[in-house]
Amino acid sequence: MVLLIVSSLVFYAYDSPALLLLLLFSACLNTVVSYAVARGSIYRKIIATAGVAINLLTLIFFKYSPLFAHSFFNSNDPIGHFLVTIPLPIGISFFTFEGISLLVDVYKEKSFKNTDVIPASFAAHARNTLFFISFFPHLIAGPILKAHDFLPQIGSKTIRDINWERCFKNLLTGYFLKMVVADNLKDFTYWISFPYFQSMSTITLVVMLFGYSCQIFADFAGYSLIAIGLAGLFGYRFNDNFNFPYIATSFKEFWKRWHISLSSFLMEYLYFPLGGNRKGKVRTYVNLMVTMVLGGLWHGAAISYAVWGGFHGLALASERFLTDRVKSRPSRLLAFLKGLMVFCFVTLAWLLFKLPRFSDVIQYMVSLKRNFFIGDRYDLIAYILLYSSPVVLYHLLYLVKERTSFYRVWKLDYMLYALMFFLILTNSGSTGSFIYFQF
Amino acid sequence: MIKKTLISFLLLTALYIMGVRLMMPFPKAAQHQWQDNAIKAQDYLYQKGAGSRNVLVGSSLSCRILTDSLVNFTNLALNGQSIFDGLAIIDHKKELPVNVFIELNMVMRGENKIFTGSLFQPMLFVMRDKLPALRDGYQPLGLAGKPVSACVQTLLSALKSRLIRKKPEAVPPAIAATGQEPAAQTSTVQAPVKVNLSDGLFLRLLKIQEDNYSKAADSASLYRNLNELARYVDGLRSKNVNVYFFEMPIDAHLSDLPLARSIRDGFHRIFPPGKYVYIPQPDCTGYETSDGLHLRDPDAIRYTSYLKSRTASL
Repeated sequence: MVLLIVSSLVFYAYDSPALLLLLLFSACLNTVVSYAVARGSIYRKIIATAGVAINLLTLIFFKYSPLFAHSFFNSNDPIGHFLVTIPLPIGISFFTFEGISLLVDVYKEKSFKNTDVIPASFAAHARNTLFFISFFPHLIAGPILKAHDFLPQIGSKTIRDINWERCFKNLLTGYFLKMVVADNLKDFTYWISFPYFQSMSTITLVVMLFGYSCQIFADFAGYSLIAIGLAGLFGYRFNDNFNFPYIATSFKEFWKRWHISLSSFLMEYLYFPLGGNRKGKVRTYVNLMVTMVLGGLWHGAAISYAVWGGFHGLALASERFLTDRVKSRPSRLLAFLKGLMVFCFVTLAWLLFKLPRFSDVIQYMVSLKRNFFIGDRYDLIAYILLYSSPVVLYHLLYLVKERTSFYRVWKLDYMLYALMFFLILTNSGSTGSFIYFQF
Repeated sequence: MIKKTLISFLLLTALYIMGVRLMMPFPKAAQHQWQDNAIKAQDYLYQKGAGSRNVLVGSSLSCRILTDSLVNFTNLALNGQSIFDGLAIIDHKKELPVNVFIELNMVMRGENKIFTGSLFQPMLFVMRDKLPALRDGYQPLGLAGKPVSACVQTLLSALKSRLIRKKPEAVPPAIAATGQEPAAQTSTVQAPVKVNLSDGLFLRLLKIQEDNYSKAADSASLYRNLNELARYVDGLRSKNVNVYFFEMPIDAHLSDLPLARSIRDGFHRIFPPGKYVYIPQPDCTGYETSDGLHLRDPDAIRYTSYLKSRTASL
């Protein structure tokens, strides 16, 4: 484990050695606070609260200072200038949330007894906490681990703990989604930028948006699968982070399938403590909005992310409102239409990720409406559809996997993996960073 | 399962590599402008011998130059990239050309280290040299994309012809904000486009360029890049390669604005006209562009003739 910790710290420090201090600070803070809380200090509530507050303040300071600077100071102001120059440490959104998870889980003891998971020795607890926070597969872009999922797994591992086939499949699928699908799609969805989209036809613009939707899924789900596969090679099991989100037939279902580690974190550590749905209907809608707006802001220090979260909060609240009042008989057609509506809404909302300026989003919508008669970009459309097809097939496979005929075909799954491996070697796109690294 | 996968993968790869070798040369598929750049660079790097006597480096502006009418010329200008990428490529190859032509216009843009890093990564470089199937132009999905594109064109044309009465108007390609490149009309790779100069979109695009060109170049960045360029130029000249500078014609409204003037002045300061050879920029009033920067097709042909006349004696 010590070797893993050292390698993880070297991995993190490789890009910016100075920011390693922040990671170590986070680990120290969470070690001391969780140890004090676990030891049954009489001030455990105050200590836990202070620990969570310091984690959040650290996140706010490093991540949202530029937003404060732009909102409240002008460029000549020395405070504003200082705030803008604060670096954004890679992975901070992930490891501060993990620290919060540790403190809350230790305080509440809902998922485990502290005596079972927190060692009596401070040094051992410090080692485990540092490992939990810094373990390299999830360090810089998740999945967000929860203490109650990971801490019980910490211990010495043997070769027998490794599920080789599962790791191999996760790694191969992950690299395929990232290197072949996402890295190629990014070169086509590049034109969803101002002012390029202004001269594109409506159909081209719609297809590019569809392509971006597939790209962001492939990029993030691909990375998550790589992280899961890598962790598996060391005998550690991460939960799935994506569960075929684009087949969701409701917004609630979508958020149970997309970025599961974040949505479940927000549900467990924010939505439920706010009261969840236990304080009346109006309060439920408010709680949903607050959770989703903050979830949006977690993605980035810009108003557009808060608006994106707000849109999803509004969708969830509206869906809840309608579900309470309108009862419909389940039918395949209705499920299909609902699924299509959810997908269209989610895809349109991704525009706020791609075009952080509202004026550009409005221009995009105007171009969608105005440009029907402009010539289509056939090559662009063709390649987007080609590179998006694995994402579509991936989701279709989920829909047919219950059928017996599927299992007959699935015996030949090694051919599909061989094809993915072949395409990784021969058809990878140019290197692009993971979209979620910026968060 | 893992064993079966690996065996199948090796078989598939071997078949593909052999298939590409047997069927070479066949047309490469560039899926978009960055891949087109990679294909251009790889074709230059992996060709045996020195290749063309004359090599041209620049940005998308120089990509408009049609080398099929220029004898013994290779156009290593790269869309969306800079002269430094082209010079890095020339530098990487052992055999050097006799003459190198360097574009002035986009000197503010630096080298794309991700692009050149990927090109020159030692293991990938050797693998692509020995196994052409691993080069960008032979990507399987890239090759598969062309028939798919033809199907898409057929379907959409049929759909639109049912919905509309008149033919869609040709429009200018998406523009370049400072340093950015326009997209092609029907292809994802640069293609010549007709433009209606009175079109409102063109005027908006020109206005954006006027705003960009109204400010002189940041002198620290300009001279940093020019000094970097001087390193390349001195290196080439020390190996008996002749270096020439040329400036692509742009919209007449832009050619005398502060940015263009400051770049010209910077060049003349670091590379004085007495010691270095410049191919003068022709009178820009005679040239039309699609967006203020990129020559229209007929004007690109005209400029190519001009360049041909200026380089005939070299």
